[in-house]
Parts: sequence; structure tokens; C-alpha cells
Amino acid sequence: MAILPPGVSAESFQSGIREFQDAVGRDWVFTSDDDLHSYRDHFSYIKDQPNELIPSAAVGPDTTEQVQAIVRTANKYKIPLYAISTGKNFAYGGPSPNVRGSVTVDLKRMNRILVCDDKRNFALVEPGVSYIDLYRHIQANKLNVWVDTPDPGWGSLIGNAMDHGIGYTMGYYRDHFGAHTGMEVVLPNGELLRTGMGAMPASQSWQEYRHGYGPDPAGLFGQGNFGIVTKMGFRLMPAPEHWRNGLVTVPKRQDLVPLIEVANYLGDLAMCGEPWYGSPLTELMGNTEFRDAALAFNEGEMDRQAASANLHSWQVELQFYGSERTTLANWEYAKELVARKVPGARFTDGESLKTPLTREQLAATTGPYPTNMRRNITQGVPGLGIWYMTGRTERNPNAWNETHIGLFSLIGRSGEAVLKAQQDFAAVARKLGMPSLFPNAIQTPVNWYQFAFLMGNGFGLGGGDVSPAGKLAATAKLREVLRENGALGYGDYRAPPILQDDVADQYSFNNFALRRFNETLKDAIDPNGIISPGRAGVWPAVFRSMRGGMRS
Amino acid sequence: MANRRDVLKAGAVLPAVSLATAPFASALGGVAQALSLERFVFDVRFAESGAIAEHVEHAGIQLSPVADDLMTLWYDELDLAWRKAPMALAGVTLADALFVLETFALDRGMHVVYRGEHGLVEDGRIVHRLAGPARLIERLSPLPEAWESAVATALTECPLGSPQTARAELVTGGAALSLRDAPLYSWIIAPRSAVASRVS
Repeated sequence: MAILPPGVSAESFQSGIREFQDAVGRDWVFTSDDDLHSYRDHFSYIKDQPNELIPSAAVGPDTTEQVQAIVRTANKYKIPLYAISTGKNFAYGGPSPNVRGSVTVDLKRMNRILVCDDKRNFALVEPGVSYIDLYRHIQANKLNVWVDTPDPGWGSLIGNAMDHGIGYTMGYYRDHFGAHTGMEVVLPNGELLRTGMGAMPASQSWQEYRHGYGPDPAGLFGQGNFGIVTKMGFRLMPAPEHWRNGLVTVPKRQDLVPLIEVANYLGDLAMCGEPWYGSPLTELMGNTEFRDAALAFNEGEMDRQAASANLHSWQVELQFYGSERTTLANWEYAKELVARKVPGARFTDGESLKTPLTREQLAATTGPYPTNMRRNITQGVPGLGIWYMTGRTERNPNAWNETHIGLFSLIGRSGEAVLKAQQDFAAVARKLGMPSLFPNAIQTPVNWYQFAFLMGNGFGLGGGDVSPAGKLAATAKLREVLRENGALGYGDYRAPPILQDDVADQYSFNNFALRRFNETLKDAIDPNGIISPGRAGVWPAVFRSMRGGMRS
Repeated sequence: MANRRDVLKAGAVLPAVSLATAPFASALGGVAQALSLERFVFDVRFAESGAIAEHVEHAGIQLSPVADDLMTLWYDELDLAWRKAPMALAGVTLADALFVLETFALDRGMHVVYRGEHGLVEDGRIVHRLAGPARLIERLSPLPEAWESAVATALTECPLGSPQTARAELVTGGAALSLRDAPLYSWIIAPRSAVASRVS
């Protein structure tokens, strides 16, 4: 199905294609349906619909200079581009562009690991380098650093950071954009920019001081459309000698407040890695009496039934990196802090393992207590097992495997905020007529990003109807969820292109001052609007009429 | 690292995409000019995939057992092999494993040329939804009660070139799948240069 970029004639498009071919070679410009198949979102809610977000062509540069040439050609013919690194951004749209008919700039060929320093603890990579690639490089060269990997680990370091992705080790490294150390960017006019110390031609410390001097525009490129990042540095966590974990449970519903306070304290002192929250009461949700209490947020009754079942209300798995002695000291300190604040708290020692863990240790799912922790990712080892989420399995029997969207709201990093968000999310679900056990009173947050919580609000809302009409209905429902949550002050951190305008609408302070600021910059920097128009709700003037177009 | 177009171009001449040789094809009653499989990936958790693997192993095809994480297979074997050349492989797995392999394959000049969903209907009969080269689908129609051996044979008989594709929905009775509500998928991934007809 040959399609054209919006507003571009067939003649101009063919001229552009020829110039792309001149820039990168004929073999690296793709226009056939078969070639373009891999640039579709496997999980798209609008698959095979007339508005499916598919490209008109794809072009695969190998060098920064080729990216510059592509951008100049795109400007000449006003062809919108959409850059991807490895295109694995599944749950958030995969490789699909915001504007149907864009030309995908596939950066997979730019896959060089330029520096990986295990004394100064950073790497400088190109966009096509995946977490698995960097892990392999570290292993092959016996380097004493870890990579903080998302789950799964097949994506690009740059692509993940550009979409504000996260990981699972120590707080600083979990924020993949926050852990960047400067970048090189092809601007919409084809010019090359380096941020931080990279702005110095003879810099000796590009990957060590990302701020450089003066205003740092690096943030504009994260979830942005102000350029195409062609190199980026990342801080790497030194490989610890030892890893230890332990389980803390607290009896009452309100005990979540001091439990989170302690975990925050330890995390912000860099004394523990990502805390994994959960509720032992999950096993009571099959009990009608308890489920009714949980859905009604009847705290007293929930506490009574929990005590009757000899179950605690909340748990957190803490993990510690360091030496055998320091990890033990930190765990003992954690126990002491919780015990001071929460009468009746219980503590279960986890495992205490010398690193690097063996494959058997990484794969182990048994331990002193049942754990939800996927051990490989806490050890900086990429995996692919998370895809169980999209397939029906024994542990996931009702998965809706044809669609897969991640929506997570930012909430305050406190027990009070979690308890309030549970009620707010459940109220929204009820208001929108989504009878479901989720959200509910035992939903727990994730602390992927160190300084805030995220709580899921998107998965599983579709009810399993995978017909085209069912998918459209589910999408409409998700938009309502985003609008209702936004009105309550819960903004999402990431979204697939079909929902990006809806998330952007949540950030409406002062009559959308942020969006107006971004779009003023966009129009100045990218007057033809060729770089990823519409990404994160930032529409250039020439495409601005398309805002919200995915809603129809 | 090899890249997609490199692989596409190399695939046309590399021995990894060879014709099936007599011992494999004839042992299973196969036909000439069939895709030569280098790996058979099977999920060790299910009796059906194990049974098919057993048949395939008799044809001399290297088995790659997997469970719920393909990382070891990918990291130790496929990533390294696919950097050098594309490869024809088949398997019987759950949907998520096929998704992972298909996605990687698309990056390396390969694609799915046959897929069969083997699920359940309520009365315990198994519904098989098949798509792939017409000759292969015809070979499977009708499916015998002992469908595993038929599928194993068919997987080794994928025609080369640009075969016409077909779809079929077949029903067998007999043994139930070992994991209810979780369809198993039989599949063939081939270099685009060897088999041009992709199925979705």
C-alpha cells in the first residue's frame, strides 16, 4: 500500500527518495510493503485501519553525515521524518510514527560502542546499540561496570532514554535520561550540535559533566522533536561485589505510610536499590468478603480480615548493592528503621550472593520467600522473558495478547499518595463503567524512577475484545481515563503516538504554557516541521491542524 | 554487527540458505527444493511441542529447547549466528516466544513464512489455524488425529522461492493440549531471500 507523506506530491516524494538513496545508497531506502512491515506497531490498536500510523518509506543511515543529508533532503521536500533507534518501543507504539506517511529514519546501522570506560564509569554509544549489545561488550571485555537495563533488554540505550525509559538497579541509574552524560544531535536544519562538555571542540570530559556552560537544551530532545540524536553518553554503575535482598511486611493498611518513608530514606541515601512493593493480601482477592471490602476501600474490615488470615497488608522487597558487609549493614539498618516506626513489622532475610551471579542464580525463582523480583534486571543483565505478559500462560491466563499499551501515572512518593491514588483510580474506573478488580485497594506503585511513584492505569481495560471495533472502543475508554486522571492531577509519563495528544492535554497549566513554549521553539528551530511532528503533543505550525486527529 | 540489508544481500549466496539434502527430506517423506532448517525451537513445558521436537530431531535438525525466556538462546546462539548469516528455523512455542523471534528476524532479513495456531474449542477438540505456503498447507489437510507428526513433517517441507500462500482451519479430536487456553504456535522463519512469501 503506497502512501505519501501529508502534503507531499508523488513527484516531490520520488525526488526525495532519490536523494535519500544518493545519501545512504539504494540498498538502504525501503519502500516496499514487505520492507515496511517491520516499521508497524505489532500491538497497534488501529492495525489495518485507514489511519494506522505507518511510514511511507524508511531510510537507514550509517553515519551522522548521512543523517544530516537525510534531514536536508527532508527540508527541501517538506517530508516529515520519524527517527527510531531500534524500534522496540512496544507498549508505547513500537516504531510507528506520529504522522502517517512519515519517512522512518532507522538508526539501527549506527550501532557502534564508541567508549566504554570502567574506571570513569561511562559509555558513549550510537542509537543502534541495544542493552544486549552493550552487555555483550562489557562481558567480552571483562569490564567492571553494569548496564541498567529496561525489561526487555533488546531496545536501544538512546531510544529508551529518549522516551524517558527506566531500569531496576540503583536510583541514579534507573532514570535513563537522567543518567545521560551529553549528546550529539542533528538539528532540523542539518547542523550538528553537541551538548554539555561536548560543545567544546577539544573537550576532555564530554561524558563527565553534562551541563557544560549556559542553558543546557538536552532536555528538549527527550520525548522531543527538536533533532535526531546520533551519539549519547551514559553513566554506568560500577559492578558491585555483592547483592543481598530482604523482605519487609507490615500488618495494617496505614502502615504503608511509614514503610514508604523508610524506603525513600534508604533509597535517597543510596543505601538500597529499587524497592519492590506488593501486598500479601492479593491472595485474599478470591475471597468474596475480602474483595468486597477491598473494592469498597473499607480499611477497618480489610485490616480485620488480614489479621484473621494472619496476613500482613503490605510488603516491600529491598535490595542492596556493595560488599557482603556493607549490604548486611544496610539491611540491618533498614530493619531497625522499620521496626522503630511500625509495630509488628516482620523481616525475612533474602539471599546474599557474590556477584556476578551465575546463570542459575539469575534464573532462580525460589528463595526464602516468594518474590516478584525478576532477578536478571536487578543485576543489570538484559532479558526477554517479560514478553510472557503478551501471551496467555498459566500465570497469565487472561492476557489480551493482541494489544499492549503501557500507561502509568505519576503519583507522589508517599503512602498517603498511594492510598489516595488507589481510590481516585478506582472511582474513575467506576465512573467510566469499567467494572474491574483493577484498580483496587491493594494496588501498589512502582519506584522505577527514584523520586516519584508510577501506578499503572492502562493495562487490561479493554475487556478482551480484540475485534477492530473492540480496540477502538478500548482506545476511546483509555482517552477518558487519561482525561479523568489528568483532572485529578495524575499525569502520565509516556504514551504511544495514538494517545500522546491526550497525555499532552493533561499538562495544561496556564493555558498550556508549556506546550505553547515548546511549539514556539519548534516553529523557530524546525520551520518546516519535519522532525517527528506531533511527538509528545508538540505540533509544528505546518502540521498543527493534525492535533487530536487520532481521536476521530 | 551485520545489519538488515547486509543480511538480505548475503542471504542469497550463503550456504545457510541451502536446499534440503536427501537424508533430512527423504527421511520424512519430504520434497526436493525445500528449506533446510538449522534449528528447531520448542517449548519444553508442553507435551505437544516436545512430541513434535522428537519427530524433527529424527531428521537431524538441531533442537533448541526454551521455556519462558529466550535470552539464553538469543544471546548464546541466534544473535551470534544471525550476525553472520540468516538462518532458517522452525519451532513450536507460545505466542510470546514467536513474537520475540519474529521481531528479531525482521531486523536480520528473515520473516515468518508459515504459522499455525493450535488451540482448543470447548468440547476438547483442537482447532488448528494454519497459514503458509499452499503446498505445505495442502500437505496438512486433513490433519490426522496424531497431528504432531504431520506438523513435524510439514515443517521440514517448506518450499523455496515465492510460493503461493494459503490458509486453513482444521479440527482434530483426541488428546487435548497440555495447557488450556494457551494456543501453541508452530512456525517457520526463513530468510527473505529463500522464501519470499511472508504470512501474518
